[in-house]
Amino acid sequence: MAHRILNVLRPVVLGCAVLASLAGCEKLSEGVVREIQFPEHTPELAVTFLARPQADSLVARTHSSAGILDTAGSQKIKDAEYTLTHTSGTTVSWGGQDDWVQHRGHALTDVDLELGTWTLTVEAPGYETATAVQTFPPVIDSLGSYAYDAEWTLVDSTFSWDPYWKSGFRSFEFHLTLPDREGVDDLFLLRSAKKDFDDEGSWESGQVIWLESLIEDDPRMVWNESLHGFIIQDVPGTQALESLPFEVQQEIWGEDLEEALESAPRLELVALSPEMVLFYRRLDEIRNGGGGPFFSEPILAYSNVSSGYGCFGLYTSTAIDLD
Amino acid sequence: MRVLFLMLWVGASSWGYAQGVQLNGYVQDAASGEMLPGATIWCAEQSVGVGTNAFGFYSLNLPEGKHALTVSYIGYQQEPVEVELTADMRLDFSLNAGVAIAEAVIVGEGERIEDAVQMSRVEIPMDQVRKLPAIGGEVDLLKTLQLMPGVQSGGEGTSGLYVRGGSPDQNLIVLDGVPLYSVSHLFGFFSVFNADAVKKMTITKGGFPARFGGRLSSVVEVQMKDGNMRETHGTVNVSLLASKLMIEGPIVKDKASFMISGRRTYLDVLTRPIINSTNAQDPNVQTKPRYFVHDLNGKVNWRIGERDRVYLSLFDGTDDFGFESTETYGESSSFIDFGLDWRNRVAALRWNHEWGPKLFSNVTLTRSQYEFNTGVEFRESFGTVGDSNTTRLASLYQSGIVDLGGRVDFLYALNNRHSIRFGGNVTLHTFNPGATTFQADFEGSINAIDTTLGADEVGSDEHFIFIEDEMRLHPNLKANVGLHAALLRVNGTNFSSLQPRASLNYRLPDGSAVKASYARMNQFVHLLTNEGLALPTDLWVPATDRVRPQTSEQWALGWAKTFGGVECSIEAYHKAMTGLLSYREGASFANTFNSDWEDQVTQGVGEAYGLEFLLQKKRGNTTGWLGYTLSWANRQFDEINSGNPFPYTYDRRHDASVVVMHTFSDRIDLSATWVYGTGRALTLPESVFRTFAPVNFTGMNPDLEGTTVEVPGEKNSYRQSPYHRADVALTIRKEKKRYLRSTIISVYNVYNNLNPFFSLVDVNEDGSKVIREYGIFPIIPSIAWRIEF
Repeated sequence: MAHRILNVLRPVVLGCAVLASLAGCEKLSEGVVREIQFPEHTPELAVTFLARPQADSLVARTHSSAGILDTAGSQKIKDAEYTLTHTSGTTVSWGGQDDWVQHRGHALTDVDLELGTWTLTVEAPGYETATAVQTFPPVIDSLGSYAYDAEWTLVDSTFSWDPYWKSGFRSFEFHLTLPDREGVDDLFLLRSAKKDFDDEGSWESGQVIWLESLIEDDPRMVWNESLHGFIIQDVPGTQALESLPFEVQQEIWGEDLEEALESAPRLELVALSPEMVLFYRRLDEIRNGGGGPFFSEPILAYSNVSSGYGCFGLYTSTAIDLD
Repeated sequence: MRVLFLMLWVGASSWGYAQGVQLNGYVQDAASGEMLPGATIWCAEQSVGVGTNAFGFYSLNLPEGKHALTVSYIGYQQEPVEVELTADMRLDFSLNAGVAIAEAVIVGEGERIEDAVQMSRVEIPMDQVRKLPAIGGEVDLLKTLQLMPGVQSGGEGTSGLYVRGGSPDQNLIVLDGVPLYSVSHLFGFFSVFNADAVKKMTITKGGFPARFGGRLSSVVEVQMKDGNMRETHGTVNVSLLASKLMIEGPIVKDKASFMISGRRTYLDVLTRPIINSTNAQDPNVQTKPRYFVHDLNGKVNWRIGERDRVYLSLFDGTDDFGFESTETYGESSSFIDFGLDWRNRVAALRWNHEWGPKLFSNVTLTRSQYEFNTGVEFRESFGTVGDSNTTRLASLYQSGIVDLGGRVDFLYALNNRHSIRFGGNVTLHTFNPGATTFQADFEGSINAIDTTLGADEVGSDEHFIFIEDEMRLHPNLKANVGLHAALLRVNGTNFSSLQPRASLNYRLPDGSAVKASYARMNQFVHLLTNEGLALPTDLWVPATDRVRPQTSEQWALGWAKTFGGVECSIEAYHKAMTGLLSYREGASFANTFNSDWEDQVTQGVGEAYGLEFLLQKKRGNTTGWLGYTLSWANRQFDEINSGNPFPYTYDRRHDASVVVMHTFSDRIDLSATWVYGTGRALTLPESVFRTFAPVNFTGMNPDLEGTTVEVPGEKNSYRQSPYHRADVALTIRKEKKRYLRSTIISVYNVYNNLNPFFSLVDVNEDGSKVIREYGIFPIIPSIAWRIEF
């Protein structure tokens, strides 16, 4: 009798098992949506204003922060008004709809910010006012009290004059010595400059410049993805910032290769404020957290903007052409 | 130190007690000759008793004369024995396995919970483990431990243990005395222990005796079977995930025996037809995935003489995962080979010697090796007639640890009031915290690359000595007091620690016992792991001059009583931990590929406290337990969460389990489990904002490049949905002429609750955002067969 019952039940049980498994698998692929009560998000200003002296044009961007489930996301605020106040009393104001340049932001033109300490105030209707304070680092140049020294030699060059694909490759060894003030954190960015070609971005012509440190795992420098360059810092216990060796590689191609080769690879050397370094380092950690969101520990973004997010950063810079 | 002095004082004062005669020997299984660790020999008229040690040895002091003894062991028939003692006497006992259903047989239960000085210690009989429901029909020892109060799982399906707010690296998991560093197969979904090869498994969560050291949170002792001394027997298991074979038998009857056991999964074999059919659809693209796991356990046991025994234990467990893919188009082709494998190899040689009726020693020599390798090779070839251009890129990441150890343990049964253990241990560690080799070959003008990056090997030596005394201070008061002294030498830096331990048991007039314990623990190795998932990429690293050891202080207070065969215990604990290691914010194992791991970590403190309740029935037709834990576990790191304290990922306020096994007849068993746990703590992004970086820092172009940044909330301030699941298993046995066949039908996750494995902020098709939880195991029916011969 028991055998008979088992024989009848066997296909029923098997069928149920298959059906249950299929139902379970469907749930697996789609996941289960869960309502999580997030604390209500109060939008705050997210400000980006990075400035150097003697710039023809500077751009500020302000967005509103948004709750994570907000489908609209972080929106630009065209009404944002900016005021820069120097400790000497100088004031610069801009912003609002009139200064908004499409795809760029709030443009500040024909301005020569003096060195020293500036306070940025950003106001927008409906938002708490955001403020930040920054001090310019000394002006980095090849001359003066905050001077760098750079030497380079061409170590390799190859060219292809194939009429269908003209291309060239040049490699330089580049040595850089940076100023190092006693008791002060000197922070620099070294990166290749983006060249403005008429048809930049097309496949017909263009160039790529790579910059590599010739010291493996040099603790004095860390590559920063957000700024596309090496952030360099004097580290106690290591050699000073003297004769830092790099390799600069330039690959160039296009119809007018000869003309293009007359243009030397350009590097940008930037003296950064500590807050700017903190902001972009943290941004890199967030964007490139090793192992992605499943594996890396979550990171809080750094900001030097009170009552808001973002970065007010001041820097000085110079271009170095390897000609 | 004061504790040591107190112990010595009490020890010295006991010399004056009247000396009787010493009864000593072994307790073994009558059928197989297998030694029974943890069996008890009880003399009711004297109210004294003793338990066997890990090798089945006992030594009991009794007055001269006739005595009625009771020998018992969990799951075995209780054996009343009468002895007449006139001088020291050697007497071995043999117990018969008890069949619970048989009539008029008293099945022993081992040492009663209220008699044991040791608190926070749990043993699950292996015959119960084998009856429990299992995913894919693959019984797992560590998952069974997760059903005990105070022991939590890491997440859906995983075998990691989180004991009293501790992390998985804080568990000392020893197989026949050898520490294992990675105990997971299949990315943590089941453990390396093959239940068929295991004789006994216990977990100690607190009140650690001084003989244990090196980890903060628990000691899991797994003993392999010694091998049947009298007859050759074996088991064959076939489940949906794996097949196992275990054979044991005498080499020389009653002198030497062996046990050998192997297991292999066959996911790769089962999926091969599907892969072949996919490959057949597009001959240009050929893919060959692989994943298999295999274990090999072996043990040889040799009784050299009356007083000497030698054991050789071996274990080898490997996971091999990877795939090859080839794409061919005309003369051009690309090939990618990705592999990831990890392997444990363990060997232990142990020598037991009885120096006399009171003194027993065990010397152990061990080697334990864990290695993890992952690599990828990419080859691409562009060809035209008579010409080709080949590129090859390869990288290989390797990490691991090798331990060589020597240990000596002495057990000195001074008298019925003092049982003293002492000994020492030396372990030589060689850590390889990760090195990556890159290779690149290009046909053309660019030179080949062959370079290795990463941390160098680190060697260290770890030493400890210990002494502990299990003493009867009063008819109602027992204690275990000891001292564990440890030293680590690494890269010219020495770390030392003195770790006092104490456990007390006071019997109340109603027969229940109040227990208390204190243990200071020290841990010289760290597991560098991300909280999200436990992976074989996790790195074992030593304490160094930059990374200090972990320490803990644990207090526990409990009450225990047996009510008619049902053990009841309640324990409260508080554990404070220092030197806990975590990746810095944003770092993970990926950062250690090409930089020093010490730069990627930060250290902090932790606190865990809670209340555990256990009701356990170990004998009868219906057995099982009910466990509940109420607990808190917090962490604080100066460099994480802005320095604010935060809940540990596995902080679980409520954790409950119900396990029931019922034997209907000698043919049919039914078992069921239900577990519930508060959802795992997790960090979620709460808001977003846009920010920018300059395109150029010089020149005329003022453009900015934008990116959206997510702002996480406070660390671990959110919870996944609670975890709950029920499993059932039905075992049907059929006795054949030469073997016993069991069919085990089990259903995992009976009511198909999708327990979350990970959570994501997801975007729906309509653009709305939601938090979506993904599970990995739906309802899984399975069937397994077992043949015992």
